[in-house]
Amino acid sequence: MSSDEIAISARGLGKAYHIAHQRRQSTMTEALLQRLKNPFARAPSEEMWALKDIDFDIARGDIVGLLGRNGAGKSTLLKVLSRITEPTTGIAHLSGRVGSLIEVGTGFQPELTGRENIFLNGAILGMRRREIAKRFDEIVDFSGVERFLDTPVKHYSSGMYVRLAFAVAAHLDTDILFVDEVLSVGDAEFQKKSLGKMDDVANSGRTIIFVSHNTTAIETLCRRGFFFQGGRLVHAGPIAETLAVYHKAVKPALAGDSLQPVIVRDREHFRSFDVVDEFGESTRILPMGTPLRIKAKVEFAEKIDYPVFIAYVEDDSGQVVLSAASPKSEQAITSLSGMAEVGCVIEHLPLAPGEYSLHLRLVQGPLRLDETGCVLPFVVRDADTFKDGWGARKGICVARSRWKAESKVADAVS
Amino acid sequence: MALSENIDMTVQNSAAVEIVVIKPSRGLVDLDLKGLWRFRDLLHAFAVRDIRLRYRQTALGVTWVVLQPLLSALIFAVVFGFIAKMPSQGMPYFLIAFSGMMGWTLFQGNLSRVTPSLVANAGLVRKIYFPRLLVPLGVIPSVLLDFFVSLGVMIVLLVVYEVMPGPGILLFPFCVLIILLLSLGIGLMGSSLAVKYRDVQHIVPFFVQLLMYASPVGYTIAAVPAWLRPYYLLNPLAEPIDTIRWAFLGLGEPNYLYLGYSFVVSLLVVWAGLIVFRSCEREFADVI
Repeated sequence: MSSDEIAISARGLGKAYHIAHQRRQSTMTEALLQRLKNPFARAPSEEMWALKDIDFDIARGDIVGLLGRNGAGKSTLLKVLSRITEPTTGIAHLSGRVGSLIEVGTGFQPELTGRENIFLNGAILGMRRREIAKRFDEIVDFSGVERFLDTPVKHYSSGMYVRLAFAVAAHLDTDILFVDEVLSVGDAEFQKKSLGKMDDVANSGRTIIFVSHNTTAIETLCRRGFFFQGGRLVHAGPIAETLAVYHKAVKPALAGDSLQPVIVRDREHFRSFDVVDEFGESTRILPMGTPLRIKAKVEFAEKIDYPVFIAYVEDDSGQVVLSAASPKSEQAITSLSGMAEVGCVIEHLPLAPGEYSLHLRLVQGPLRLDETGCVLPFVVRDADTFKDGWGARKGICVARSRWKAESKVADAVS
Repeated sequence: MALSENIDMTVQNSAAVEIVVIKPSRGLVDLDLKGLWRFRDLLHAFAVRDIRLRYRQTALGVTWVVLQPLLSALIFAVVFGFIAKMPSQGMPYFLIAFSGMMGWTLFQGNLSRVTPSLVANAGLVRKIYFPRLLVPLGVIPSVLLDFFVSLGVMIVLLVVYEVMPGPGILLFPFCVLIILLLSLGIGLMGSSLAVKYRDVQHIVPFFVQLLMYASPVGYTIAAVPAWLRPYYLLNPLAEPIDTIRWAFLGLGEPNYLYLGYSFVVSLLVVWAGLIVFRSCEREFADVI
């Protein structure tokens, strides 16, 4: 590969975070007091390498999917490459204009109209004003919200909101594009449309790095795959091969006794979430038909009124098969502040045995406040929960059923 | 012919490909003016957003921007002119208070909007790359718009009170620049610190309050005892605020030495603010 065919190259790229063992002082008064008490003490901290010794070359026009469990380093790599955060070691070269398609709706301003938000969001993503103006009709067309262009987006339904945000992001004109979990939004029809758009983008000769927990989407869109484990790039190759390595490596993680809540990093509100058993212990394997118990820790810097939590369960192809939202009326969560623990029980999870993943979202009215960003994989295993001697049967969902049969004794015509 | 033109095009294109190099930054920081220039449309977008939000959300809209300095000037005129009977050299005290308010509101408005700007845009900083300096810089246009509104009010007041500014008015833009630079510099430091320490946002307004009484806002420098003046004027805000008053009303005489001092201090403050901001910048996304 000659050097001008390479779009992205990384040598020895690493990113370390310092994890303080005592609570970080988050107010200046506290920090000053601490300093006064122990003028020479240094806060004990531990170095955690979220990314270490990463070397790779990505050719121009290549489409690479990043695979790996939560915290394996995929998102950190994207953050470093998109210059959101600086690497601790190493160097990377990117040739061409760089754009990110991260988190649909970032930077949308609820008070501004759809039209105003298109320009604001486009500028945030690095588009020039005339560029946005040139593609304005295309964006509006794709989003399908032309009738509400001059309405503040706070009045939009969440579907419209997402469609508009994706439309802006998808029309970015860049040589290199980073895509992080943007396809899991909107209804099925829009997902199809946005996947199609991604396909167009992928075939337009751009270099794309793609992160998604939707392995089906990765398989269809990407040509190469990078598999990350513990901050290291452990496998790079054709996508099918990498996926095989990934599946083999990830599966055992579901069992074992060192299960822990999934720690959510870099989110505004979500801190961790977990699937637990009836004793509150982490679990990743549920017998079919038993309750799915979810526990999450959320933090609110300010008091929030009427938050709504939504749990999404996706199957292994990334299709949302079940969602459950906290109530809107009557038993609604009226307000939360500080650290809060949220619990949810989905009685008799009606899913057939298989692999699933869970993620959570926090909304308030039409506003999406936060989501876990990462997913928690779990398995529904076959079990005779319904005591009918059958266990798993055909289909994608299961339900308790009652049967009655009696012989109608034909009225004997005597 | 057409073919050779095409070839020329591709050559030009590949020559224009921008190369981004990502590596840990060390030592002193540069300002990344190139990056700022490339993202200049974002500055415009931020400014438009701030102005729209400011003038759309409030029920009173522009009226509020006009009323605010008028009401504060009225209170100052009553407290300092009517109750404390500060010297006014025959000038209506309301004008003295309002002309002092102009410079002060610019300082306080800019500082109080620049300081929380990064935290207020935490979602963006965490998820997307753009030169972070654009966030604090982006609030300045809306502050300036407020300032121009109060300048309009000032002109109306001058007509009403039949006061004609002299050639001293030429110094007015210079004073505005000094005040802007001072507030921007302090605001840049404040906004970088606020990312790490959230109480900065509560500490700053307190000191700003103190600073107001140490500045010739509700009174003229002439009211400050002569022996105290050399120390009083160490406050780099004092001379520009009083000079704005002089520019409009012709009250007193500007002290050019201290005006120059204020200018030098304002440059130093902005420079320090930029350095602090840029060196904290590499951590913003990790701690915000």
